Amino acid sequence: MAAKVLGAVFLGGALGSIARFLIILGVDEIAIEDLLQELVATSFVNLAGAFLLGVVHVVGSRRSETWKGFWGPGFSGGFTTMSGLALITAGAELGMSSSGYLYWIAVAIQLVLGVLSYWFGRFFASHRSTKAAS
Amino acid sequence: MDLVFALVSVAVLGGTGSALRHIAGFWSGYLPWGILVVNSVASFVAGVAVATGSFEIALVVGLAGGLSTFSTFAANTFEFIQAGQRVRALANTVLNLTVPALSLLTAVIWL
Repeated sequence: MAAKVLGAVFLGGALGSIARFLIILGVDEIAIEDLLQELVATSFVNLAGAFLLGVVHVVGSRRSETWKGFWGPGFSGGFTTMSGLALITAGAELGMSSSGYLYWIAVAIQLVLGVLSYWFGRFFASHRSTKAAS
Repeated sequence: MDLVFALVSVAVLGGTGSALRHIAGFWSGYLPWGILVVNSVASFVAGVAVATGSFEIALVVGLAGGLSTFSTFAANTFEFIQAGQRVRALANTVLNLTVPALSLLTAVIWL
């Protein structure tokens, strides 16, 4: 594995993590219970990140490995989080909310929407490429 | 100054977690095991940080956030569905929903 690609993944991951952190800080300002804040923030970053990865996988076919490393496993991977979702479901199990089971359902729905968001990212990028070519 | 320290620690640990995840991502078989393992390890790390209350932002947002990934899970599951491998898609979804959560709960209960 090229050190250059790994460096690009590191850099993209660092920037993606900072972007996610800033969004979490922004959502922290909303006056709702902690688990709901976490759900809002993770929904935004995960669905946007899955969309971005879909775009990257289409556009990346004409780009360098370094570019793909930066935007794919780097930025998109660092921006999205699965441990954030585990914090929500585990928090619900530990009684942090009176409507615990609803958080499990919300997280399960987010997993399904994530796949659709990735597909939409691919569709969007393919459609744009086709239009540009014609 | 605290915010600057938090941003730097999130960047360094998030980048490190992402690089480790990229390496682990090459371990794949019936399911993308490497991604499931890093998602579970990251959740365990987040559980340890929350239970002990130490370096929560650096470990939860930085290391665990960078190490774990949702977008790669979505891409892998999409590829299974596209290939008509519904059982693999379902298994990947169910395992990524439950195993990381159980890892985090284990850390919290253990500590």
